[in-house]
Amino acid sequence: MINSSFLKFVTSTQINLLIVFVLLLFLSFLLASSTGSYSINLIEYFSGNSSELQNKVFEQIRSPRVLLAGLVGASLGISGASLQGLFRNPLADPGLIGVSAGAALGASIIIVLGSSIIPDYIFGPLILPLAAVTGAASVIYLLYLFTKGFGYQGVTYMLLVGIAVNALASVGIGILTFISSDSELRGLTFWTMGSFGAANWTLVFPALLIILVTIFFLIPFSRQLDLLQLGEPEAYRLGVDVKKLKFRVIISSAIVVGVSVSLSGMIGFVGLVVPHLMRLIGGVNHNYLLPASAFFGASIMITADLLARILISPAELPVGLLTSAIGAPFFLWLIFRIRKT
Amino acid sequence: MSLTLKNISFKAGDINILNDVSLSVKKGEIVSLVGPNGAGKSTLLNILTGDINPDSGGVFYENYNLNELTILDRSFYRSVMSQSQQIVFDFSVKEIIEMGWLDKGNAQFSEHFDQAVLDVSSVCQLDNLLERKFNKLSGGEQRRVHFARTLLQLWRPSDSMDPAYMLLDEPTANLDLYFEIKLMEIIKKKAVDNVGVFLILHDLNLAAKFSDKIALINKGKIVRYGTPREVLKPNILEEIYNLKMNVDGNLKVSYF
Amino acid sequence: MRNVCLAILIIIFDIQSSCEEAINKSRIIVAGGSLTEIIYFLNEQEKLVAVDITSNYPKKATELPSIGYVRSLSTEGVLSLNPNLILGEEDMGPPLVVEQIKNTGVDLRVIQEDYSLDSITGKILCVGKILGVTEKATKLIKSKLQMNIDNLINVNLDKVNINKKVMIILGMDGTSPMVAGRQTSGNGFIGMIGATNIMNSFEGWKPVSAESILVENPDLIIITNRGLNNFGTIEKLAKHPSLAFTNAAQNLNILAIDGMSLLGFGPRTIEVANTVAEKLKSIN
Repeated sequence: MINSSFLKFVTSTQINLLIVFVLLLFLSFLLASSTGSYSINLIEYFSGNSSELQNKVFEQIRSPRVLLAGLVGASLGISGASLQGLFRNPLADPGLIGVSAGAALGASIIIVLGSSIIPDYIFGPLILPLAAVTGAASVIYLLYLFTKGFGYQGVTYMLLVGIAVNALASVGIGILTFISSDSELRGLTFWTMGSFGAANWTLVFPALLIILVTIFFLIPFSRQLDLLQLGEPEAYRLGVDVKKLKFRVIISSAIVVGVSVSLSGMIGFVGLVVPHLMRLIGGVNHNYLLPASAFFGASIMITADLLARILISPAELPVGLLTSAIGAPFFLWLIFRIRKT
Repeated sequence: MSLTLKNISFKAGDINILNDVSLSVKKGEIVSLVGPNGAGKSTLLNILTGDINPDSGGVFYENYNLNELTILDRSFYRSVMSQSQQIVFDFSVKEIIEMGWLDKGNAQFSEHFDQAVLDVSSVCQLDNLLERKFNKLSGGEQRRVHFARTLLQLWRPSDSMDPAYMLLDEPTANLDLYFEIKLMEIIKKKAVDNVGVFLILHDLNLAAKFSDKIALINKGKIVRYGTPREVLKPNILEEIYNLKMNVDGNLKVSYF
Repeated sequence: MRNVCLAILIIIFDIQSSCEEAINKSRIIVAGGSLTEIIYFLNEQEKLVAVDITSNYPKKATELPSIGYVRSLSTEGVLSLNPNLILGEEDMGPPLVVEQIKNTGVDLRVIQEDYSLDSITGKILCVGKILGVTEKATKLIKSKLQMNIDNLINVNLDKVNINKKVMIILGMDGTSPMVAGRQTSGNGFIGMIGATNIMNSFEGWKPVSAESILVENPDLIIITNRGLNNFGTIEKLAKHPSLAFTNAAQNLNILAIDGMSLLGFGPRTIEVANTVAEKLKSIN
């Protein structure tokens, strides 16, 4: 299914662009792997001219972090593009459906109340990602219930439910903020601004999982997402099982977003802006758009994390702050462009 | 071989929209559905396409009950054109036409795909618009693009015996006079190629000129079914439309 | 020597008008855990009417009515308890509420703090003066704290720990470790034990990347008990990639300490500092 659909509906220009984006990703990966507070670069590492400690830093601290940033960036890029296609709305963002708020609420509960509700450090530092995923899953379940299996009243209703969930989660997080101590508050604030600082190989595996989810459950349905743009009845008449498609995209995006948030906090704008930019550069069909958003999203995230690590070293900037600082003005520019036409 | 509605009834809340309606479209035949607004025409079409499930009665695509066919299978039988929604992203005209072909994965079709797209574009006189952005086109031009898409969906190699039916809701709306007639001529040609056509039309004269059969519907019931000559009688029409009607020997209907 | 130091401190705090003896001191509200600690230290707790939620030591203090979070007090809430004296530190707020309370004529004192050993004794003397028990305060300092104070002074004078690299972590909730920079209570603590804060190139509590931590390579890492929660044991924490390769982690020189006693800068902090300073002597 990938072969026939992909090759038929991607132009040669788009294929060239995709190759460029892959190269870009490769370059950013190389740069980020070679740069950091601790001195070790790829040449030293691969030629064996590095100490054991340097090797350990590279293997245990730097590579998992760069890899995690790339995987999360790619996942957010694809899920953003998919959701914009599903909702037929270029302003759709993974945060819209309320899943990231649910994940944030789950994590916040642990940060503020953790010691009083979870005894004996059952999961160790994994408790935070697990709580976030539980929060995300709860929201997905709520969406499913309220929209009667994602069919009822179409995507508009889903958006409304998402808005309500966002509001509820804000209340929850607000209460937790209110009762938190200074140090809990600090931890909460920085967590919500996003960080790859906790990266280690254990966390890379869930990140691999979500990328696989996008590869198997989103990318092969690019063509169907194209057809959905004609409207749900039209897509149905052309042979698309619309209900199944909606279910697939929502669940996949929710899993991707929930896990991303749990691994690295709330990192905004990547899911919103990257697909926009990819459309401007190469076109709107999803067979091109989804992979492009993945490659470019990964590059952006790796670069943003690199800057977060080195700009005010030894202190770190929250990576979400950087993506918002670049993303927000860029988004405004996009809106001006759309207004002009 | 036909698409058939048998004893279809449908209620929306407390209101009876359709009441024991039966209708069929044969291969190679053009059937027009006419009637006042609110008579149930669009609902009937939606039940035929499978968008809506009737409360009672059955829908049959040739030998199969519609329920037995997957959504993808259904799209092999029939293509549909009705009111179009706004398209948010900036697809090109060519991309919209190409959407007629989801991905049949059928080697036989895929090698003909590019040529088929060019063919239907040519028939709809869209050749020099293919690379333009769809959203920049006028309403009438956009309609023609959607029509080309429906033609592509039904494209078959010339020796194929596969079923092909076109279901169209007011296909000529928004078209200027030239393309109104052009479109109906394309439909006529398709019927000659053994495509079954089901049309909802407002314009009784178009229906008269181009249909093999006309079904006249009012208040959820088919009140008259037959050839244009049999159905387009002034007294029947006056009762249905509440207007003074006149039909001459050439089946020209006038009402003012 | 110690008498002279104490005397100097008494004079300095005499000059500060905010330490003047209060006229009415029968109903006291305290906003600040270390100040509550000090009141119990001075055995004046019968005067306490209410405390804030950071006042969790001694345990008895938690049984008192609570005025909530020190940074978001409520004017009416505080005044409804009919205090005649309110003691707080610089983090008391919001500023508007503090102004309002002052304007009603209630005696509100902001006790100064600069995260040093002197400021702890200064706070105790200041509170003692406000409550009119300066002599008791001085006596209690001499009997209960002087030994630790002297030891800490000596540690600093002799510079035994000056080259020891120390880092204080507040917590590690899904970000890089939150570490004490300049102008923090953590930085002050490291100063008290006479060591070097390796993270002194920035101000405030900030997340610091694992690589930067490794570059600085601390000999001793101190983390709050709350921060250790997610890891369970020191051994597990020492294995975390953010810290594992440091000298401190390799030699298991990691201490987990109750947050308020470590960073509150009350009487307990002096004892904790002394313990840590002694431990630090034996490292390296």
